Amino acid sequence: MSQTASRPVNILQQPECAVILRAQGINKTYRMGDQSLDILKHVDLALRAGEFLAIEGRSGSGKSTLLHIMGGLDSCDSGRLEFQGNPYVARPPGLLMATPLRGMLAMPKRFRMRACALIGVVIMLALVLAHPSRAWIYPGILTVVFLGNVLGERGERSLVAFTVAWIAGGMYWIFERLTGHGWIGPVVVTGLVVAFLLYLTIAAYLDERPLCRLRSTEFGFVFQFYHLLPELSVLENTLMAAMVENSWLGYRRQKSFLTAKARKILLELGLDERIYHKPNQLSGGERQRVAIARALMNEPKVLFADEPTGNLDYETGRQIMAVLEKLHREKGQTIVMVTHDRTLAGQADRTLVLRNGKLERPGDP
Amino acid sequence: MLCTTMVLVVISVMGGWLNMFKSSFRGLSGDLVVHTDNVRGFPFYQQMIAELEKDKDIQAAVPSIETYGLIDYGNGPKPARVMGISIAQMGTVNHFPESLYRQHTQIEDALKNSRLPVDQKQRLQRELAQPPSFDLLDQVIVPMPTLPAGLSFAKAAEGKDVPAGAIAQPARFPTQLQGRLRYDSRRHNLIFKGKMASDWKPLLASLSNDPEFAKAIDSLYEQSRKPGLITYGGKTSKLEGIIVGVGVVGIRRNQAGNWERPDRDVEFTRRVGLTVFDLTSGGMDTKSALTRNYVIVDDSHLGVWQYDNMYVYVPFKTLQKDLGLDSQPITTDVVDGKTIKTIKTLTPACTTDIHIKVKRSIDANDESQLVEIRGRVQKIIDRVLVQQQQAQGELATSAEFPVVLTWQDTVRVWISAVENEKLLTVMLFGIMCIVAIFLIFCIFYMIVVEKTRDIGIIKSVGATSAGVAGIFLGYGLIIGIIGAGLGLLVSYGIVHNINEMHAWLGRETGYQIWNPEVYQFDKIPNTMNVHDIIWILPIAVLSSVMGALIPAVRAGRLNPVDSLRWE
Repeated sequence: MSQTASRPVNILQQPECAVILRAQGINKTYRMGDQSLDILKHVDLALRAGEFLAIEGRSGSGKSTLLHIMGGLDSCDSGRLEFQGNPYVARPPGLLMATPLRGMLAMPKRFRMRACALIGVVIMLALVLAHPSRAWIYPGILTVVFLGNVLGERGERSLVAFTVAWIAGGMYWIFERLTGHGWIGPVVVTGLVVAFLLYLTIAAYLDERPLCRLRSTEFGFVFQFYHLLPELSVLENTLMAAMVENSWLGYRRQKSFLTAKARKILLELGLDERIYHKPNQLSGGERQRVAIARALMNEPKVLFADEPTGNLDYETGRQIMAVLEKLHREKGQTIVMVTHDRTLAGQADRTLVLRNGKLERPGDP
Repeated sequence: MLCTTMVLVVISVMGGWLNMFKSSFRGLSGDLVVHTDNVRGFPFYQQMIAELEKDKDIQAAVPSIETYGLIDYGNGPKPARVMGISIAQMGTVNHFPESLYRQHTQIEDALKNSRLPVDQKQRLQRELAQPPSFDLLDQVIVPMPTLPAGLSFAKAAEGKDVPAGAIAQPARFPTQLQGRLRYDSRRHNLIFKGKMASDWKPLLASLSNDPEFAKAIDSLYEQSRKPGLITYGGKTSKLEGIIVGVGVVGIRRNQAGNWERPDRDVEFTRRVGLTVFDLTSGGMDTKSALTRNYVIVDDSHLGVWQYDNMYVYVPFKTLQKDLGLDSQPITTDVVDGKTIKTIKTLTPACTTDIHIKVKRSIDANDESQLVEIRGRVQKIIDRVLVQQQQAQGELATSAEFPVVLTWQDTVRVWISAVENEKLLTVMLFGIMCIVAIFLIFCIFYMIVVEKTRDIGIIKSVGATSAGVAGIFLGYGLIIGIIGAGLGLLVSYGIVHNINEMHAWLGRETGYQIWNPEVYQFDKIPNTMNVHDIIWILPIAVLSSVMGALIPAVRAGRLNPVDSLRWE
């Protein structure tokens, strides 16, 4: 373990500083064909509650990637992330990549395919014995194709195959139904497959849910390019965070409360005159303030700002920085800001420099 | 939506066609038919019927004769299929009586009038309940009595010289007599119509309370008991009645799709000649042709093109006699030692078909149940034939054993053809549905690609993959539901107005798609089967969701960071 990385940890061992977010040994490698780039090399970082941390680095140094990994937006190759003592990790997103399947993915590919085919054949045989019919051709093929492929890493593509098989099977089923053949079998198999699919979806959802909750309630994001939804007004863009957080019914129930809250936040950010405008009617600074309002909507514990002034002129950038500083000073908002600008970084409580995939204190060679 | 519409319309029309086929073809045959193709028929049918009616599952059995003939209704002989039926019994085995215009449909139409007086309604219902007949007893012609003051019978009461042949307008008669009374101004007669017409006296008396009028009617009634003054249509004609298929007497649809019915009064009582051929003598020569005059008493509209345009129906006994199928005395020379004895005996009467109706406890639409009874019936038929042949010795002709068919057997060729056609259409439209799914897929895929950055945004504020996919699936579901709903509405509109639309098309363009000669029916089926709707609508909705599935999964699997960088 490198010395540079261990230093912040030492600072945080002071008792009055509660560590809110801790990253240990984060590695990230980008692969493009046979080339690979180690963008983060065993990065350690601890964030104290109420701290304004700036991470400085040149373009392409991996500072945004680090921020995304910390915010649960991106996956890392190895390392450990903790928020208030609870570990969390972002995985490559997937609808079918539920926990039970990850175990299967760990198997060698050849073995996995054989196991899947075996399960499919066993199911098919069992059903043939239960109800002999020519209709088994379809569910049999379907089951084998489905189990053999969908469980693999190319879930999306095999879903296409699955859908095609489903349609073909459906047609065949209708044909058999109309010509008076058996129908229980295809219905049972389709039911089983659909049930399995539903199970995977639900499992994936439950798997993903804690991280998504973390992202929506505990973290707030401000990006360089604002990222507002162009169809929605300023108010709706701000409310969107609450919409995603709550269920549809829950959102309807507390809509008036949430709207008042959003208006209050927008008022504090000086946008009260603009709440019914669309993003394309706003200036860059105003857009960024809307993005900050959206990030603050769910009262996040940590606000991640990815080059918040990068797309703005100097004066506007300063205004945005003033907003962030005010938030930090008056409300004790924990902020992690990524920037390439050393002056801006200087306004933070603490500055770290990301260089060659490693975090260093400024001034170090 | 269009897919749903098309599938529903096609399935409704084809399914309706199939059902019409099944019910209409049954219109003429019983649940089971004992049948022979031999025009000389099979003997001992009375004994067979007696035996059959003892069976626990058989309600009734009625004989009929089917043969070929030539019908001449004034413009030269034309081929026709002749059916001899015992019409009073026919109603016990099938729905043939319901196809008769004068004795059923007309009365039923009159009953649909809700403003009909109660007594008249009851009378009509009594008429409807009577078994149909080949008699024309409904024509009662009464000389015009002196009318009381205040009562007028159209032009006759106006005291003008009425031109010959003019018929009083029925609308001018008192309501209770409309459609049942006609005034023949040339002969100055009143003509009562309808099956209950022999009850004309109270009908006429109800017109007025005038005692003079009542007296006149009483005297008319007295005279009616003597021959001469009052004429009863059926009895005086001395001719047998004939029932013709509507098409045979030239009642057809015009280009616009409307029925062109000749004046009913002209058609009924019209004389037609029917030639049939007695083939019992073995060969066919000029002597075997026998022409008999009939009088048209009714027309039958079964709805099946070939029945309505080819068949005429005559009394069973008459046809049997004309074909030489009744029991005839024959002389046989028997060599008894050296003397030759001449023995006079009777040949057994023959028929070509026996229609059997099963009891209500048996479901006649369930072929397996009928097949079981068919086996029993076949045994009974064979047993009776063998027994009777043994009993009557050589006199019994060595007729072929008739076969027993279920009604499904008789229409099998047609129905399987229609069923195949239905299947083919369903497959065809299924393929179109797949195209629709592909279309939805493409559109959704485009939407997902276009909205990639927005998906990234909502994911970065914490939306789950399932949530994002759910948005697109929900969108697909809504589209599916709206499309299926609209499709249902439109197809309902089309199917229920298909005959009007077809007629309009025929009027405007002179082009008729539905050719009754090909499709057997003169109108396009216009009913929708709830069962079909129940399974097509979910498939339509589901296919829309299926189309959205892959784009939705793709949207759900997007990496937020990658999609935020999307340009």
